[in-house]
This record gives sequence, structure tokens and C-alpha cells, in this order.
Amino acid sequence: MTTPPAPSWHRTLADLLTGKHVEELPDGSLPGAQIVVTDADGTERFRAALARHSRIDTHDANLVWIRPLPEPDHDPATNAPVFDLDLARRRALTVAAAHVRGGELELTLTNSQITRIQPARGNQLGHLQDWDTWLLGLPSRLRAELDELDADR
Amino acid sequence: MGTNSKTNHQSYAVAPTAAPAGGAYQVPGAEDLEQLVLAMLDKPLGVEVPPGDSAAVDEHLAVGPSVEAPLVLDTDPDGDNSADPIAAVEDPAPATIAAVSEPVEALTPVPDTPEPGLATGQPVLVGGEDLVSSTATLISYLDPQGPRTVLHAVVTPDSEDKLMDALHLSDTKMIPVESEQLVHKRLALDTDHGVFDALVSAAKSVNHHVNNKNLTEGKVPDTTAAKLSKAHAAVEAMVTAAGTGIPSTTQEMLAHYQQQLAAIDAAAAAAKPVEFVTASLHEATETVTHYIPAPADTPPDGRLPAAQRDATRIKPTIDPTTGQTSWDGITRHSQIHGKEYVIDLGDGYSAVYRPHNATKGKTEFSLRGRLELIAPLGEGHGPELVRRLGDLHLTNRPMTHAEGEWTYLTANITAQDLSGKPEVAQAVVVGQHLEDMVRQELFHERAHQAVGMNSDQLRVFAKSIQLEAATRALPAKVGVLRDAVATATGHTNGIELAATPGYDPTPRTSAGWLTWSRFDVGNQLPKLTQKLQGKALTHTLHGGSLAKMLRTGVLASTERRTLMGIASGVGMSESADKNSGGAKSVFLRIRPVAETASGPRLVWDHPERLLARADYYGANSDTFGAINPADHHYTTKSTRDPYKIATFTNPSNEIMFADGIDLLGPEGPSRIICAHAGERDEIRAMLTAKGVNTIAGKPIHDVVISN
Repeated sequence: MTTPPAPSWHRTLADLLTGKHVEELPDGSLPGAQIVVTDADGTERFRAALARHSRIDTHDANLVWIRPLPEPDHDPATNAPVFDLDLARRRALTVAAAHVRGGELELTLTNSQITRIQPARGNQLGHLQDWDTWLLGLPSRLRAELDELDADR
Repeated sequence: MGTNSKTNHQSYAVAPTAAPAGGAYQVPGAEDLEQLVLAMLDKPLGVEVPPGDSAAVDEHLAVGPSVEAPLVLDTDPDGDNSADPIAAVEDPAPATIAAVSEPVEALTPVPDTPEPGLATGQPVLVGGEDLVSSTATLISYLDPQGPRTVLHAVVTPDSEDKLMDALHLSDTKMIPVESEQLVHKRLALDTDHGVFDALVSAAKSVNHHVNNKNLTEGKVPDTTAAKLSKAHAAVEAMVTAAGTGIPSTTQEMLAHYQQQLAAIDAAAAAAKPVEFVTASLHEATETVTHYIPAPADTPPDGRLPAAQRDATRIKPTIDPTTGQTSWDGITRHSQIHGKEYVIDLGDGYSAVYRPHNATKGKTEFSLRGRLELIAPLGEGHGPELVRRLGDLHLTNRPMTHAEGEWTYLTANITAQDLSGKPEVAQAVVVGQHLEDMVRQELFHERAHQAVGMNSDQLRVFAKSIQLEAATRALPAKVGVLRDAVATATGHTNGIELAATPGYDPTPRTSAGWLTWSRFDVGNQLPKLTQKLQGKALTHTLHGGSLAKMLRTGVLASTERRTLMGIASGVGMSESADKNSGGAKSVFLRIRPVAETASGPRLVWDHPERLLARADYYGANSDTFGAINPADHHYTTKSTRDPYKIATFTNPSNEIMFADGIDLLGPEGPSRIICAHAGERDEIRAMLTAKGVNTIAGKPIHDVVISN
């Protein structure tokens, strides 16, 4: 099956994830994105940094796969961050509507939740830096697989 | 009294009783019981039924015949109680706080020594409701000096007060214990100059800008150039500080980082990503200091010496070749959110407990209530570990068959969403009243024994009566509940329900845990099979993961993997855990069979085999927020209905199964699709070496295949 054409908002999403149009931050951090999910009544349900990859689903152009990042462990020997792919697993957004607002991407999901993809900050920005560090220790084959967002664990 | 103990209105009920429905009166706590006992010394206490409830009790006892004869009660307080509820229960097994009852009718035997190194361990059903799912898992970790058996369980929030009441807490009575450990670490020369960190920073900057196409050949962004410069400076400073005549380990480290810096420079010059940066590690022996509770000569009131410390997680390691797990009894993950109690049980036994309440909001969600009982080195400690639960005021005997049926019915009430049915809700209340009446009858019979007891003796006396009442009332309670569930599901009575082919109140061992079946699925399997035509359950994996997973033989939840030594078990902050749908489950997706051909992947072509379990729930799309209906954070739609799950079409649908799935047993997949023939052959050989020739009845050559 041919992958359906990506919706127009996917380019905005990809740019936010990679921090493409943003300078490195004064503390040396590399820009990227975080996700904030709220219910229809405004209650925040989820907040996490996002890995720098995304993929439109093979069967559904309105479904995008992403990878929220949990707080990492740290290797006691190197103090380097360690991620558990069971926890940093791929997740999906099934999008009903999309809007770009003030440099953020607002996605209304089919379950009525509101998702904002915005520049990462605070703890989430730190987790993203840790993710980049952890990737440097992985075999290139696994990094490529992670980019594909095709595996559940 | 422990500093964090809560003794007001604590309950010592241990039978698998469900929470009373609204309007049910409270079971007296131990202190209430003391008052009752004291009152009984002055005034005989008759059997009492709460006002207005005696009719309900009689009515429910009269609901059709039961497989086990219902308890016949004469609730006339002025009568002679000739139909003695105590005597009416056949062969009651007395239960005590400090001793295991006769294990004659244990539903699951307690092994003397679980198979050493078996990563999943061996599940044991423990009576009562003190432990979540009434289940403990015994794992014997390998150690060069012999197996080290640990009992893992999760204490229910309602039972925490009992456990805390067993402890004599001291924040100051911790003593240091030193041990030698072999570690791999960076050299001081590296850490002092921040060499590894500087190289990582430079490499990440190169990759970031290469991927964003603003680092091109001959044009390096200023920020990247600055980080490269800093990396060079760090390496040069380290070399200078090392001087001459340096040991070989330092030479190796210098060469390692110089080589990696050169690779980063080359990548930047060629505008290509840096492949990898790794730390230079060297083996060293370190003295590690652990703190344990100081021995207490005579803790007050016979309580156990305990101390609070920062939360940890047991840190076993798993052999990637054999799949066997090892633990030295010392090494633990630290930097865990929250606190825990370390408890000295004496005779070389110890326990670690992470409370639900004392640090609410701070302890990692998945750790709350988690209990470890650790035996001294050696074999044969399984039964003693279960017995030692009693030292913590928890029920300490294996589950009986009657309790097993209660648990089975409770699991089906949840799975089939029957708790809101009036007859089921009332049966729960009636069951509680039955137990109350038996308890009061026991008081009446034994009040004279309390004469002369001090407060501690009275407490033990009260607890023992409650335990025995729970045990004696249980068969009648099961009969009442079975009848109610039968009525709620369209059966005439409990006998008719119990005779159906799908009714099977026997737990199934699935790797290191136990599962119960749903009788609604078992009784209409062809209907569900028809509904699932053309659908499969599936779980996709990264390359190389299959062989590792199959060495342990389980698709296990994060929590289970932590105990086995596979997962780091960290990073599960409360928000991440509660929002992920739970670290206590594994998930599969239901997809058209045609979309399950590529690997690496596990595929169940007959989903009804797994959907016959009673412990799953699912949602038709990824939902950000807890989707476990049992989670107090639950806010969104999910279902336990297998017929609704069969209609899921969203590619991101998830069906969550508690604990995990035994991949080599009857629940094993129909197809294990490997990425390539080499992986397939490796897995076939590994399984054959383990003596696994079939999976779920199919030869492994038909199950383990490649693209």
C-alpha cells in the first residue's frame, strides 16, 4: 500500500520537532518540541518532550506517529542518560483538525482532546538533550529503526 | 506505635471481600474489637444483624441452591442459635496472624525454592485481599553462593495501615555496612576535565545542524564551532594534566577520546552525522556503603525495627544468552522518586516497602505499595517467605479453593462490568454481613478467653477472630456471590452457571503470574471467533529484540521486566506512568491479518485465545491520559468488551493485558515473524536447546518464520 500524502501541517510538525528554524539556545541546548495534551475542558493530561521524528501512518493520513520522551535513567558509571524503549514508545495522534498559532501547532484529536506541539522548555527540553545524548551511543541500525516509528518496542 | 502508623479504625479483615457498597456499615477495626472484647467481659454479646439487613441476608441465602450449601443462619438474638453458623461451615481452616494454615487445600503450591535463575519467577496465590490480585511472585535470583529468593508483591492501599502498625520506625537507627563492588567507571582525569561531556555536546551539535541542513561542507555554524573548540580544549587539557609515564588505562582513555574527537572533526568537515560517541570506561573495585536498620533489642510492643530511606528498586541482571537472572542482594537502582521502609524481620530475613500514603504524590506511581521480602541465601525459603508476611500483619497463607472462586468471580464482575448490577452489589453487602455475624458468634463463644489479656494480647486475639471469621464465612459468601453473578448474567442460579463449560475458577499460570478466564467468552467462544474473523492481535518489535525476548519467554510489562533484570525500571515518574496506560501491562494491537505479514513481529491469529482472559481493557485509539478503567486518573473511553474490541479499526488501537503474556505457553503467538532467516534460525535453535518444540500446540518451525 502506498503511504497517503502527508497533510500540510506535517511540515510544521517536523520543523518543530527538529528545531529547524531556531538557533541553539544560550545554554547550549538544541531546540526541539514538546507535546501538551488537554481534555476538552482544559485539564492537562499529558506533557512530554518529543523525539525529533514523526511519521504519517501508512493507512491513515490523519494519524501521525510520534515518540514522547519520559524522564531518563542515568548510567551510574558515566552519568549518561539511558532511555527504556518500553517507556519511550511510539504513540499516535489521530487528528481531526490542525491550526498553526503563534509558532505552535494545535491539533484537535478525534477523541476531542487538544494537543499543542510547541518548543520544548524546562524539564522537557532537558529530556530532549538527554535523548540526543543517548542516541549517540546506539548502533546506527537501531537509530534508523527508531526514526521509522514502526515498532512498538 | 510507628511514627507514620495510622491505627484509627484499621481493618484486619482478610477474606477476599469486595468493598462494601454504599450504605454498608463499617467492619469494626482492631481497636473497636478491643472495645467489643472488653465490653463482652461485662455483658454477653448476641449475634446482631444491622437494622434492616437481616431480611436481605435471608433473601440472598435463599436465592436458589448453590454448589456449596449456603450457610443457614438463625439471626434471632434471643433464640438458641441452634443453626450454628460456625458449625455449619465444613472443615474451617483456622487462620492466625503468625502461622500458615495447613496448605492442604492450597490453590497454588508454594515452592520450597523457585527454579533458580528463572527470570519470571513463580506465582503464588495468597489468601485474603492484602495483596493486589492476591498474588505474590517468588523469584530465586542466582548468586555465586546460592539462590537468593525474594517475594515480590503489591500491598493494597486498604491493607497498608496493618503493615505500618507492625513497624517500629526509627529515622536514626541506621548503621552503615560496607561492601566491595566491581564497577566500570570513567577515570578521574576524564571527569575532572569534562572530556566525554564536551565531545557529546560537539557531536550533538554537528548532527543537529547536519540534519537541519544548515551545516554544509566548509560552513560550520558558530555554535557548533564553539562546541568543537571546547571539546579540543578539554582533550588538550586532559593530555597536559596526564603528563608522561602514564599507566596503560590512562593511555587507552586518551587514545579513545582523541580518536572520537577526530571522528567528530571529520564528520563536521564532511557535513555528515557523527556515528557515535562513547565514554571510556575502566574496571575498578569500589567500597560501597549501604545503610541498614540497626538491630533493635526489644522494639516496643513486639514491632519490627524499620527505618525510612530514599526509594530504591532491586537491580538484578539478566544473562543475555541464558535469560537467567542474578542479584547480589545489595545492588539497587537509586535516584527513585519517593521513600521506602527497610524492615528487619530477623533471622536474616528483611523487607522493603514503598508506602501508598506516607509519601503520596511523591513515590513513583508504579512503586506504591510494592513489597519485597528477601530471604537469606540458600534454598528452601519459599514457604517461610510467605509465612513471614504474617510478621507484617498481612495474611500469610496460600489461597484456598473457596478464595480462588471468590477471586475468579470478582475478576469476572470487573471484566463483564457487573458491579453496577443490583443483585451483585447486594451480594457483596450480604457477604460482608455474613462475615460480621460469624465474627460476632466467635466473640460470643470465646469472650471468656479474653479475661486477663493486656492490650497487645487483646489485639492479637481480635485479629485472630477476624481472620477465622473471614475463613469460615467464605464458602457461604462465595455461594451468595455466585448466585448473584449467575442471575446478573441470565442464568437461573449458581449451580447452572457453575455447570457451564466456560465456568473455570482455576487460575492459569502464565509465566510468573496468574490469569483468570472470563466465563462469558468461554461459553460463547464460536460467536467471538466469528466476530474476529480476519483479525489478529500483534506487537511489532525492533530488530534484535525478538531473540532477547524469547530467551526469557515472555512479553512482560515494564514492572515485571524490572524485577527480572531486563528493564532499568526507571524513568517512570508519576506523570509518565499514569499517562502511558500503565507500566503494569503490555499492549497488543488488533489489525487485519493482511497487515501482519512483516517482521519483526508477534502475531496471534486467534485473538480469542487471549481475549478469554479476564484482565484486559482496550481503546480504539491512542489516548493521552490513563485508559485503565481501574485507574483513578481514568477519564476516557475504553472497554473490556471483546466484541467491541473486535471492531477496532484505528491503527493505534491498544489492548492492555496485565503483567504480560507467556510466549512459550498456551497463550503463545501463532506466528513469530523474524526480520531475516538468520534471526529465525537463531531463535529456532535457541528454543530447541531450551526444550521448546511447540508453541501453543504448533511446531516451532511453523511458528518461528521470517519475512
